[in-house]
Amino acid sequence: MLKLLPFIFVVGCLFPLFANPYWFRIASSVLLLSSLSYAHNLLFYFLGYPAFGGVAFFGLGAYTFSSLYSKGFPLIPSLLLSMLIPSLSALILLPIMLRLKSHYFAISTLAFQVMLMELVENIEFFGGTKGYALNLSHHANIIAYYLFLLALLGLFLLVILLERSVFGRTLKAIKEDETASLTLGINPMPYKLSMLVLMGMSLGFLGGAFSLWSAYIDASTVFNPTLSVKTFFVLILSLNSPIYGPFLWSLFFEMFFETLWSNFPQMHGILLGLGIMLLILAFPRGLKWKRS
Amino acid sequence: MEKVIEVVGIKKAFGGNKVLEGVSFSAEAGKVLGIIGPNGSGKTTLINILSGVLTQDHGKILFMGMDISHEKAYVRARLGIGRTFQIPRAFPSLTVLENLQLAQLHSGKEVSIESVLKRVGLYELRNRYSDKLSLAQGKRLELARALMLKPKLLLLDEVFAGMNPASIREVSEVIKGLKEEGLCIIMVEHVLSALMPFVDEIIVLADGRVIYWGDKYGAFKEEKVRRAYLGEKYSSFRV
Repeated sequence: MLKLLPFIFVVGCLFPLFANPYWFRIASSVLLLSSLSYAHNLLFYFLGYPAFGGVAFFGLGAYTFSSLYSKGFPLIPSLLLSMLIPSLSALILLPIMLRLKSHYFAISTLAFQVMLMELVENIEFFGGTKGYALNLSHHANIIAYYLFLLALLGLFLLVILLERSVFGRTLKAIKEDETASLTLGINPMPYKLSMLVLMGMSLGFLGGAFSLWSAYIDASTVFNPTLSVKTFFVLILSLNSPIYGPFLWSLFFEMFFETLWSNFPQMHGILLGLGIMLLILAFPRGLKWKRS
Repeated sequence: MEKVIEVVGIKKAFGGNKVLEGVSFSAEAGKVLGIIGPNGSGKTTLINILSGVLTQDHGKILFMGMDISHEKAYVRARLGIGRTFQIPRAFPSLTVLENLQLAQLHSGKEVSIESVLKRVGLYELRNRYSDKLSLAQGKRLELARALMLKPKLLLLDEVFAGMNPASIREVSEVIKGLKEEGLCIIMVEHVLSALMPFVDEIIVLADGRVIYWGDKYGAFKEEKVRRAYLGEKYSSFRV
């Protein structure tokens, strides 16, 4: 399947040229959701930390980008800072949370997300409840699409690299048995911090790109807990297939969501919830994939 | 003989439960020190404290003359303290070979993986995932991982538990070889028949205290040792 990657990438690059606006929007959503999933998996799959509130870095990136770009900062520096600010905040705040495990860590990151959401909504400097409306050209969503595609490619290759490297095996050792890994001379903290920074940078970049796609951001959009739910739905189903699973399940999820929305507009929420429950019951650890 | 480890006044409590109450002893290079005692006497807690997995409440630990009382477990491993666990804790998503590669990488020591695998009898299983190993094979893997640290002190926690007689003989030969190479080995063990042939000294722990430290043959002549194992009723029974 990896041999198809260049072909798939070329198709992805050419897609905006022949797709109608409807399918272009769906493709952008798929790229965004799968990139969010790969980014969260850096901490979840490799280290076992479920950052339910990881969307906080996405929101932080979106706000960083929007506040700079709306004031005339160029695109690339704004994007770079949308990566830097979330990764720095991850480095400062999350090491304390890394002492927690499993659901305790998950809840503490959710609390962090809610805290940030309240902060930006209540401080005018960050846009308050008005948020940011960006004055963008009509090509901005195409630029955003290519940024999502770039992020997806980068994260996909990173996951493959980690799966096949000693660094990645060290991460898995820490996840599977941190105590045993300590007795082999492994210091877990640099590994945890580096994955934290990578996750923060990736999510911040995606947040910046999302601002271009959406043209308007506010706290309820970019700190939306529904994004976390969708992401972790994909991740749970991808537990046994960390390389291809996030992309394939994101594709399935967005198509499923779109089908429900188009055909059952009043009931799509209920049906979506039921569908998620049934899928998780049927595949509690995702679809089996052979060990890489 | 060079003292590899000196333990002075180690105390450890979990809440109100005092597990170790002032344990002191030392061990030398090229010697095997056996730690025995009834269940719940604090043997594994002591091993956990020596390896840095747990921190003592009071007391000091000197390794090669260096105070390591507050050093983290990964630092102690890099200094040359290797250990095994009572229940094997290999990394299930890694193969036998990958487990050893990790140990080699992070210890920074030049040790041949192939020679260690052959020594513990796991060379043929090097590409098997460690969650597919039997209990005895898992214990050999743990021993191999510890040897990748090129340890000066090896802490073995019930390494013979769950092994058949043939495996016990094979692993005993490995331990005897390591002893002859000058390694200091501390073994927590219940399988006394396997331990006694090559152990040099015995410590008996009971209720978190050292009730005997000395010659292996003298241990069971002591009434307090018999009382700890057999209870008050049978403590006067002589072997």
